[in-house]
Amino acid sequence: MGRRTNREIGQLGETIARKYLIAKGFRIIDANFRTPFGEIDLVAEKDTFTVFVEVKTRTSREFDSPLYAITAAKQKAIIANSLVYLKKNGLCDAPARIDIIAIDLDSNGDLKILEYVKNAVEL
Amino acid sequence: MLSKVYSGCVTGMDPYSVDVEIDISGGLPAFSVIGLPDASIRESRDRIRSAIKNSGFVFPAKKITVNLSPAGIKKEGAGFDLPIAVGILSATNVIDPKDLDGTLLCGELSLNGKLKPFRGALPLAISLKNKYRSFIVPKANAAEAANVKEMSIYGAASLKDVVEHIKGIRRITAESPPPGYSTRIEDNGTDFMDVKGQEHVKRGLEVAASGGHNILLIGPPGAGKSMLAKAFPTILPGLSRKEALETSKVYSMAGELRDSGLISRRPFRAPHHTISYAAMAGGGSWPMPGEISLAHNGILFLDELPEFRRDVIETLRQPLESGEITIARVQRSLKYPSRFIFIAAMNPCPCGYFTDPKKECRCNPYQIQRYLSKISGPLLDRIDIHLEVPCLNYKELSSRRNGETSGEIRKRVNRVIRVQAQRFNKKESNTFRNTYMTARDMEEYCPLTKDAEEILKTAILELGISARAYDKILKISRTIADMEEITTIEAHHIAEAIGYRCLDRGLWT
Repeated sequence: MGRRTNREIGQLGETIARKYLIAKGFRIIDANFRTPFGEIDLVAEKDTFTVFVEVKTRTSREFDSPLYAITAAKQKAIIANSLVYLKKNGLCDAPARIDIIAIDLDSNGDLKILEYVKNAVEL
Repeated sequence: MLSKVYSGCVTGMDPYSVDVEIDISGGLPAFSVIGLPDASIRESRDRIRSAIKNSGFVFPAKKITVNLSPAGIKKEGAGFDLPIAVGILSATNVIDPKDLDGTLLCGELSLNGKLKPFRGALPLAISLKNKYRSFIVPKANAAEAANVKEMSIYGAASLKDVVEHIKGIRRITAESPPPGYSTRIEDNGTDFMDVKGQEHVKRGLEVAASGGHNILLIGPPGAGKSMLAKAFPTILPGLSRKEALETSKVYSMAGELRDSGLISRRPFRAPHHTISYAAMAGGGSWPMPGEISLAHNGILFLDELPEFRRDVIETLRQPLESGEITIARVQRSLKYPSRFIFIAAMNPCPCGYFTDPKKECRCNPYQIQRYLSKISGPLLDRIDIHLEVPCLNYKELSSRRNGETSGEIRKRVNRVIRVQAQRFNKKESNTFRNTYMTARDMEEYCPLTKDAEEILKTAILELGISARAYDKILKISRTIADMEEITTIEAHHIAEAIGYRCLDRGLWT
């Protein structure tokens, strides 16, 4: 298989994450929600919680876990995005949290490792 | 996953134990150190991460919280790298937490996992010897720490060695304590026998060595002041083990004690006159010991005393009085020991020849006054013995060396020190010397004969000797009497002592 673009890798990861969440009993309510601060990969819902999911996909574990890529600046952006979403949908008082899914793919684009971090960033 | 590792830290000369607690929990990868760490500890994250990875272990991509307790004391130094790294490996089940019981760990890590020495291994080992069974240190610190026999000391080369040692895969052999302490007599190539003439100066130096008195040598250039000062350590007794430990602790804090075990030679510190205040007293925002503390139990020699900056000289006032220095900084104030024999050398005037009988002095009275005024009265007051070192004449210069050797003089000095030790035994350590006597001590230990009292009285009244110098004269005469092993101070003891106070006698002014 040829080299993929980063965008394709990201989409591949998001598809996997979506399947994973559904299998865990989440209901996906939105995806790629754009705000002035960036984008929310997935918005799901489970047990009355609105869950914002950031998906980070990498194709090689040569370096560290993809979790290291969620820098402090990125965490700030994720929080801002989530707040925009809550405000827009009138959910400010509803329970919400941010989860992160880190996905490692092998060179064929198949799933190698999936790390799921619940409540990764405090909202 | 929680783990706990024992470590320690030294600020000033006060060592204390620090428990390093590590919690690893899920969440985004993060590494935070709490418990008042300083910058070098906060930076340790990157060293530890690389060191763990490059030693073949896994650094967990988890949320790591490191707590240094007690949380109220500020921690400093890179010595926490090793305990934190071992704690992380313990929290990730590489090391069984039980294997860490009773073990003290300290050391700085480099990125490749090698261990680097840290400051203060010796004081830490001494003060925590009863709390822990073993102490794992970087190899470079092993020799100094091994002076503490109550703990097994293990010198490790790398993080991998430490882990294998703790897990029992490949034990490090315990560092063997140095074979019985043996002191080394100073032998710097300058023996008293090599110093020609200057008999009264040699005698004065012997008195100083015996009673621990401070000395000021005054003389024209080339008279041999520096040579005499350099020969001075050779007539002092070797360091006792207790003194060696005290001095080595200071050197350990300064990071100058490497591979060599204890300092077994009396320190002779001769800083140049351009020295800064901080280098003399000790300094930095986390104060390190300065020259006066590195001279602890030894000699501090300041050549060309008036050339030193005034604030540098004035720094000496407190240490000369109390044998320690307190350095106050924003973060905290620290105490370092600084009990030393102070030797200063100077010319009598800017051109140097004021007291020389042959060569004419080119200085006017104002210049001389200004030169001498660089040394304040309070400091001069703390110098017991003032010795004039005259230029040698041809006969003395050309004579064959025939004086006493340092070894012979040292034997006498040792005897006088024993006399003092017996006298002060009940109240102080046996390093106590006549020069440290308090007013009450002097009343008790300095009885005078009638003649002696008479001379002292005349001196005070007619020579205009100040009341402050009175104490010094008594202390010096006590030492001179001790040299003859006489309990009551006699007239000629007092007379000789007055002779050592040439500045009081108003030599120039």
